[in-house]
Amino acid sequence: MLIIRLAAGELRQQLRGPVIRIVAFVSLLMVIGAAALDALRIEAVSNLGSGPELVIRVHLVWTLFYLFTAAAFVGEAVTRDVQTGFAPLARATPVSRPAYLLGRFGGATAAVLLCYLTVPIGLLAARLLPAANLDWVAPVLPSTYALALLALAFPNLLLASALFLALATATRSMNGCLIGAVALLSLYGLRSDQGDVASLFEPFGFVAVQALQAGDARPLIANRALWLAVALLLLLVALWLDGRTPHGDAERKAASPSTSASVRVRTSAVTHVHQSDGVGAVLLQLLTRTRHHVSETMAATPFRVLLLLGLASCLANLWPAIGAQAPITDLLATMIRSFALVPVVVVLFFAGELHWSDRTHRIDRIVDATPVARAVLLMAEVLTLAAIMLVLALVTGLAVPALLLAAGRAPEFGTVLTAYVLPKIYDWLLLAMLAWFLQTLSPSKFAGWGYLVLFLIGTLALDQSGMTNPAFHYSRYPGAPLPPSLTGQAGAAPYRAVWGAIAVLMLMLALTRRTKYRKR
Amino acid sequence: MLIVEDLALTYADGTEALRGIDLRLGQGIFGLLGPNGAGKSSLMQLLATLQRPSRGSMRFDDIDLLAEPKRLRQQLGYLPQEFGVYPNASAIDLLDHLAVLKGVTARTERSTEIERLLTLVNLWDVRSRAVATFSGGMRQRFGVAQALIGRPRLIIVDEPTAGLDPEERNRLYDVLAEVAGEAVVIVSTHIIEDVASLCDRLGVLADGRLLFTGTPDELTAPLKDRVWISDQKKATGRLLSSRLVGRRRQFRIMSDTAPDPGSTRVEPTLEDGYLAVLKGAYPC
Repeated sequence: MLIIRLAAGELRQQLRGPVIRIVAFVSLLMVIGAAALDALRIEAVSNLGSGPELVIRVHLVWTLFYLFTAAAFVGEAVTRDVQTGFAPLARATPVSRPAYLLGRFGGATAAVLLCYLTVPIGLLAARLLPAANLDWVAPVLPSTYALALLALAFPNLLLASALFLALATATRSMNGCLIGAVALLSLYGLRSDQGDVASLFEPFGFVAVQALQAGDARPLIANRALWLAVALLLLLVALWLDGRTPHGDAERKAASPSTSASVRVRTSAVTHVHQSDGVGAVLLQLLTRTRHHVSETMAATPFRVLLLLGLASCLANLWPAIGAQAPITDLLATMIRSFALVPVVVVLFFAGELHWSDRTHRIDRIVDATPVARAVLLMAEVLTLAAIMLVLALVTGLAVPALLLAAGRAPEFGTVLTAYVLPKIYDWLLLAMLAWFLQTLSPSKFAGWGYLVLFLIGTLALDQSGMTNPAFHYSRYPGAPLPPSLTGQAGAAPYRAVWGAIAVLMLMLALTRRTKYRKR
Repeated sequence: MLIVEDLALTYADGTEALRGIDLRLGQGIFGLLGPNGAGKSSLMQLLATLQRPSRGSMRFDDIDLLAEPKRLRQQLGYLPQEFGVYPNASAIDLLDHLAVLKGVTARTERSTEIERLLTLVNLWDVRSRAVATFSGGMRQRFGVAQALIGRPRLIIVDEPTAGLDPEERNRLYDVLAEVAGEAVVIVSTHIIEDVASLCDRLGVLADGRLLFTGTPDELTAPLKDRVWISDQKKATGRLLSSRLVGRRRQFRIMSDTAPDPGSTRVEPTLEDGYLAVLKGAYPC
């Protein structure tokens, strides 16, 4: 009963937040929109028959979208107490730690499932639309919805939530959840389309469902049983990890020096300390802030893990091409395509982390009370994003010469630099500028992340509606994502120049924008 | 000289945090007393130029705080009521970072200043330790050290002694007294003892209004010969406070005459004056 009461409290907390409403609204809109407009239908649910088949497919695909929602809800539930300083109070109550964690988990997962109900609701609502596609209004038995929801979607979301709980408990941050979401998506990406092994080990049930549609329910039952067991195991791991963490902040603190030490108030001669606000001072402040942000980012676990995941994906894709004696241009094209997701996730995540870093660490008032110019603080964030892009491009770029050398071929440093490193830094920086600009406009880090996600969804919708002209897509150009040095597209340069100018404009707007508070 | 005139702050939801504050402060320590929610932190944030008022003006010497906040920040030391630190940053590195932001750009001068401050607050021996691992008192002393970077002429410290043990509190008093000879120091607190130990002048803020400003003696003077101790709650006069002394309830009552036959006249304390102001019983 106690766990249920705690879960209810967590659910109420989640329901009061803006995230659940935004996600539910977007989710509902996307499902109804996809039913009504062919143009808004994403690739994964296109041309997949109608009626029951489509209902099941939509439910499955939307569980992938909901991975990040689950990461956000569960991550927040685990980290909120520490961030708000409530943790010591909570831990001082007679509630056992397992009960407390399970309560939080239950409430957050219930919020995810509740929010997910917008998917079947959207499907049902779409049937009432006069403009709905015939495939989407074909007769469907209620049992199909029950199967899609209870046997497919809910177990998937339960698995994701349990994984995020374990990761958030281990890392005590949202970072762990983000890594988990990327890892789960990678598992989905590695699925093969058929075979007994794939039907069992593909965690979302996409492959097992194909067998069900062929009349064999056993692979799906085995798949669900396996991954529900994994979810239970992850839950136990989270409880074990939670039990290992100290009970309060004080336990992590080193003992204070002896309080018997005499007070050494040194009455120094009063000398003036020279404070400068000239160009030299501004440059030093910019350098200091940038160095601080860069070292903070490079030390961040998500950055390292994302980079390693991306690098591993690149190497896995490049190695067969190297063996096949593919030309350098083909290798770089392979590289760019296989390293597409990581820069987007890095930009999304770190634009928010950087911009809200001082507030996250609760040192914003002290920094804001110094005479440093607001523009210096903001420019340091932009320079850090550029440095992050540089590191991403250099680390992945060096993989190509390394593999070439390993295969006994010339390393082609020059081509890698001009056809991959430099143009991709520019491309990623364009997106980074947008992500950062949205953060400067938003009232919180989470809202800023939401704005960029909406932008990405909007881009997807435009693509699906046939509006693929680069003029409609910020940062896109003919031949993208391959740079003109690989595609030979002469028309790419003007687009890149215009998007660059818009990025500069966003920078200027952010730097000169007046705010009620100093920086926030 | 800090001059505040008709300062008001109203939040978007209509809450009036400050209403028509007038204040003139010279060098020395000014204690800002008030109950929780009185508006002390709001006033501190306005003076630290972190927020803009809804109405009014603020000047520090020749600086208009609203028109030239950056000039003020060059002379400002600010310790917020609550603050955090970057994880893993050592005391010396974090002070260096903040010193650069304050415009102390010459490396040697910066090093000397940081050593002076860490010694002043007795943290030099732990300068390489991450501030995040400091105890509450050590962290608060670090907060004071960062507020003193660059020898500011206006120092604003918000509840600096909250949560400190008596010895740590005394250390902070020493540090603040040390710097008060050269600066206007404003200490926000709800601990009367802080004001009694430290302040040349004080103000009592309640419900967004500044109800009293003056010296500690000026606060208690009108109460001279008018404070009584009694064990009778229903005695005549204005009840200032009640507390347990040796398991017996004791009432402090303000009255021109003895509130009951068993009462004893006592010297008024700062707390009596403060409570008299808060309860609207201050005889002025």
